[in-house]
Amino acid sequence: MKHAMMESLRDFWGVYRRKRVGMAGLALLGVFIALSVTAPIIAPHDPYYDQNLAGYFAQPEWLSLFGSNEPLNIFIDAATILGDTSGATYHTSENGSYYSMNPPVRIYVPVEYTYDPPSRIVIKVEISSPAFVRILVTRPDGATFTFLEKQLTASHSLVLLEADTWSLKTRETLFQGLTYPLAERELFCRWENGTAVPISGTYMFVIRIDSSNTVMIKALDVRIYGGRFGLLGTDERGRDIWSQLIKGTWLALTIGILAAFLGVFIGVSYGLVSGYIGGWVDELMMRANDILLAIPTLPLLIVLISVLRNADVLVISALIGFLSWNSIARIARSVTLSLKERTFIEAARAIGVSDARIMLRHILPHIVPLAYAQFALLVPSAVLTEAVLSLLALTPPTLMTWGKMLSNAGATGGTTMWWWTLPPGIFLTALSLSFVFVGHALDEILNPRLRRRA
Amino acid sequence: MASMRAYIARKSAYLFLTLVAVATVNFLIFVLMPGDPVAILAQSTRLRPDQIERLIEMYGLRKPLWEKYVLYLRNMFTFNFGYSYYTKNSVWNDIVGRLPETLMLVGAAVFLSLVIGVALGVLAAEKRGGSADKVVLFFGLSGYALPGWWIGLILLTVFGYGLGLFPLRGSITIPPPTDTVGLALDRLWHMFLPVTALTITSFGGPALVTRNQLLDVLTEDFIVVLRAKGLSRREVMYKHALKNVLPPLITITAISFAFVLVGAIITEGIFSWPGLGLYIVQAIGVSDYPALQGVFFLVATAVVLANYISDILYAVVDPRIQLIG
Repeated sequence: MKHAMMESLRDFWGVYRRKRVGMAGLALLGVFIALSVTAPIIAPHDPYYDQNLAGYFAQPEWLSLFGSNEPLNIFIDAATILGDTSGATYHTSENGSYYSMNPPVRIYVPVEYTYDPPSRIVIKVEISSPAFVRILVTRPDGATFTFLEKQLTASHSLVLLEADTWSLKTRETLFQGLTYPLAERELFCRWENGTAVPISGTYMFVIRIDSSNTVMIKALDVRIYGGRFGLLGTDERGRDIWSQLIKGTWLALTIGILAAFLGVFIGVSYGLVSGYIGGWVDELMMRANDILLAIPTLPLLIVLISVLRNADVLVISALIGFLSWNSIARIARSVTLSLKERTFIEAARAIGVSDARIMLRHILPHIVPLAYAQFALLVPSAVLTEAVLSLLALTPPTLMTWGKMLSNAGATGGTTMWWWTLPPGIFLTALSLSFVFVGHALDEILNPRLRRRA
Repeated sequence: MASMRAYIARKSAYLFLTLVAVATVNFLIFVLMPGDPVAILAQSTRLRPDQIERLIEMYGLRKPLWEKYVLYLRNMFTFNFGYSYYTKNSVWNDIVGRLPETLMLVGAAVFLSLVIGVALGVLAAEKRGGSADKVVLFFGLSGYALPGWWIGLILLTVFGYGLGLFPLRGSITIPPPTDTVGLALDRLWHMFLPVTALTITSFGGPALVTRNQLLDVLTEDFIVVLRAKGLSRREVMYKHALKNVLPPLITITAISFAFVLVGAIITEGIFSWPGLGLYIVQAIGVSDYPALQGVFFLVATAVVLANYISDILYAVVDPRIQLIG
């Protein structure tokens, strides 16, 4: 039995491997499976939670090859800043580690900067005793700006300075959340005839802390967020688009396969039973099927999912699967009807084989080959349906599918960033195509009606 | 012919039953909706008090479930969909106003995808296994897998934003051109990208059906006989084989219509085309349930009707169809 199955599988493979389209589909599918299996290694970032990996709307790193002068991330931490500063002592205690310094504290952070102005700078200073903090920066051309002058109480010890946001269109930097606004709006460039010209060189960030006691510094960070990041840049919250893309493969495969499996299972069972029983039951079941088939799935799903709210992967897959079995039921029924009158079935019935056994052992094997093809064709339709639901922002924001990526790009004006909008669509199409190709090849081999006249 | 009349009568009865079922599904969703509809309506600041009172009256919101159901069915079949929360107009008027815009897109896309699909299908079947067949197969199958709205997005980005060749939104320039020719050209200019996007994704179905059906027919004995009689391949193909593709093509037209109609929902959203699709997208954004329900019922009705008409035509065209089935 097992041997015979291996034999027929080998025969099948012999035919299948000659189908170019089928092999292309299989190869493509292999690529996607490889991508989703290696995702934890090649796409290390969480598609939703790992925010601020770089600036917002960062370009792909390799765009520098084509003339982009956006900076990469320049993150300077306390160890780097204070490690070689005389007077800072490193302590570790149960409450975490800190540096202690004797007042007055003068910390100098030189940053070599030769790029276009950054979109975002964050300077973080956390101290555990009251102090007067002043943060300044001296530009390569000698001009000095004050970021902040503030008396910090112990309860208010965290300074988070954010210089936002390098607008994509007007290329204009605005500083937000500053206690003292800068005299000039542009820190990293000077104005020449109405255009901003970046200034290259060493920028000296100075952090001055005055206090009567020893200053305990719990955190000290100077972060210039990059305008270039990773293979595909970042989205509107500084998340890694490459990671979203690769991890979306896994989501798409899961949703597509779950939904298709459910759809095929329901459809085959329904059609088999309906066709085999026949008579008014068949009529009733097929009418019910026609009615369900007539209801456009997508609008129905849109309404259902907006009523359910926050549907997770399982619920979405189940709903899509549950609404996509109708045409398979028709196919299964027509195969059953044509077989039912054949002599071998009549013979089986005459010698007293039970109905259930006839259906499962004698009719089902004739439906299964067609079901494989239908399964392969249902996967892409389920994946594309889910993409539309995501595009319309009907799925939870944490479910970072390819459709959601495009939805985010559309909602935040990122449609002109081709590295953001092209890959999800290409992946969506390629994954769908791989299944369609495989399904088509299976259909040609296993559907007797399409066999070439020998 | 008596059997034909009986067939049509039966199909019509089923049509009615199907429409009742669609309305029932619609009603179930209506009942499933989160929250008490009366309370939600009462809080609605978007509607005038008299509109709210009329809605409560219309849907029998304070009446028992079965009365609500009967009222609901009656409302659906008299196209009495209530008022949109968003536009404050009656949903029916909103729909009637937007329907021509959608039909224009859908009509053009269905027509083009049928013409292109059948032509490519014939070409592929003629040269089975040849390079034409492979190309058609590839593009036909890609059409299955391509998300039309994404194609729309890319077309809009490249030809709209990038090259500035086509308009970014809407169905007509404001203010519209005054002369008839200018108006028509303006229309076509606005339609070009959305119709292209819809067509690219919908010609695959007709192409593959035509190809497969033709291949099926070409293996039949009568074709061999015709070839043996001395008819050329072309004559066999166009005079005899192609005829057999007609019945399934009618079904495919109905399916294409449904497919394109639903596809237009998203595509209209991308192109801000002021039809039913954009109406639905806006309704989702503001939870405008009466609008969603109305459009959903109408789209479902259109699809059911298309199938009904295709069933009747199929029987007329293909005498082999047993009218008992």
